[in-house]
Amino acid sequence: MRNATENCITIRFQESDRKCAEKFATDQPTAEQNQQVYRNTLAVLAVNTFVQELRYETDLDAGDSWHPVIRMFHNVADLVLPGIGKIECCPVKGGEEAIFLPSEVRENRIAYVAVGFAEPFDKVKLLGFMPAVEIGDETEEISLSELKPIEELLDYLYRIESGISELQPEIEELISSLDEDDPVEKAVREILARQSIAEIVAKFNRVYRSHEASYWGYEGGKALAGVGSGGGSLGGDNRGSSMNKSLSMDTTSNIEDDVAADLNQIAKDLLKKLAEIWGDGDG
Amino acid sequence: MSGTREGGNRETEKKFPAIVHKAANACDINVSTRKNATMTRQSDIFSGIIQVSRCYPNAPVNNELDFKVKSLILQALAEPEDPRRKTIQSLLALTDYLPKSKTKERIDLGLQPYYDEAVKHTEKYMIEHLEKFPERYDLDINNASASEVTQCFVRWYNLNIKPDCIDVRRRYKKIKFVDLDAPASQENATSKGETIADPKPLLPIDEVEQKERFRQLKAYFETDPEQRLRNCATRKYPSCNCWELIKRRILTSPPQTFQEIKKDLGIPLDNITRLWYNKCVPLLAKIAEEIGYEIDAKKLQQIEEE
Repeated sequence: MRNATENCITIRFQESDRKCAEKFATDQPTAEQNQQVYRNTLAVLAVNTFVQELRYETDLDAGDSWHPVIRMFHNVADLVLPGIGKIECCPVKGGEEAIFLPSEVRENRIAYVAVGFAEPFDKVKLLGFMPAVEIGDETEEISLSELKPIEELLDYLYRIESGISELQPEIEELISSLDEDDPVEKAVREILARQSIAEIVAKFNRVYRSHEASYWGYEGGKALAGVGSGGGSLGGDNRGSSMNKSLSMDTTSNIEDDVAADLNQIAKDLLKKLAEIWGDGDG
Repeated sequence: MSGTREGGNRETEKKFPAIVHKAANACDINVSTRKNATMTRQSDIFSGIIQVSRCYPNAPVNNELDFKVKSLILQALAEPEDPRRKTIQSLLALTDYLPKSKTKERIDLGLQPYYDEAVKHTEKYMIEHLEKFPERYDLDINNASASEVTQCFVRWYNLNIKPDCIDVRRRYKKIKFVDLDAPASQENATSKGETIADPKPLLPIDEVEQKERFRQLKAYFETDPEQRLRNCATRKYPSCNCWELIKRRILTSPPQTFQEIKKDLGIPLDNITRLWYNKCVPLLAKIAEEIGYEIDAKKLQQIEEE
């Protein structure tokens, strides 16, 4: 048993959880998939209990893990938080030192939560989480030592949720005001439109937590353009993106500079707005 | 930054008498906070001296305060709801002194306006769900040290006060919130005493039968014998049909992302995702049911509504 002061949360299963996991597992074509679906279902139910205790709405039915056919073909354990995004609940067996991310769970996720299983399987421990924007698109495993404390998931969800409600009208208005005929504005518009608001907020959250305010424009602009590592895997239309791809062949470096400058300014303004609601009382 | 911290000191000093009174009330002790009387009488709250630095995060924990927290929790756990209310109120009155606790001053700036209303919800939640506290931290509360109990209590308090502040904020901003008193799914509501003794992860299945049924399902998706999958398409882009998406997202391993499909087919992302979630996903369930899988009625209802 881990020390109680370690950063874990214990979730005890109920009879109804076990029955649900058994029901989902029964349809699987192989014994290996049977076990996989059993664990995945219990992992999702445990995270569901925790997230609901954090007063977040969840929709089990909307997840691929709750779809009778999709879970037969793919190794998924997703939990949908309506209006916010999907959390992947990754089972960790005793002795494992990392969570493994099959390719099917690297798209359209806001976070990965490690769910530790140990005999006698009457409970699990939520070991920690990793925001999706902090790993690269090709990441196949995350070491348990790299995870953030599970209790910080609340702060992360709150920043995404409050950031979406704060930025949604701003970004929609901004996109509709950009001129299609102006090459710079057109490029900026394309860059903004191909990302979900949740994804933009998650990227800004990373910039906000990692950089001083004087770097918000530069770092936020780079994040919007999809430059640098951890471009994110929250969905939207951003994968493998770079500014060059969205511009025509005869684009001059001046236009690129202007686009970058515009993105920097947009990022700076939006991050200032977010700082007003994200600031900690501790200072 | 240092200016803010100094400002915080002055602010805390101003609030100090109120904090002392709050804690003293929690312990049923009368104190005076008149000038020159504060530092002597505050020691009545506990036999040890509570330092002003108690109000700051990361300050060392006062052992006697830890014992007080632990004893109040043990007392509340043994009480029915009505007396428990008073004990929880006493416990919450101590949070100002507990390092790292998210008090009104320490919680996110954007949540501070909602704190006073939220703390009432937190109090109610703690009264009704105190049994979850030792469970969440795997805590043998009788045998754990007072310091360990206090640290876990602060974590639990933070995990409730902040969600309650967020929830109150949602109400003011008219965002949909979750009512914990009426869980969406009764099946998933937690309660003590329903622990599974020893569930086995490996279940007995008829592997031959399951494999055969799975083979049939996969063959159906691969061949689309009734052309139902390819006929299920967007009007504007017939090449974007369910069969095409199933081949790419279900039968391919690893599955293609929507982005990759968009690039391959040259079709807007919205059209692809709408077709997938509104038509293909329900159709997958319908076909599985026809092949003999037991499908939840909710999944089938989705397709009947289409």
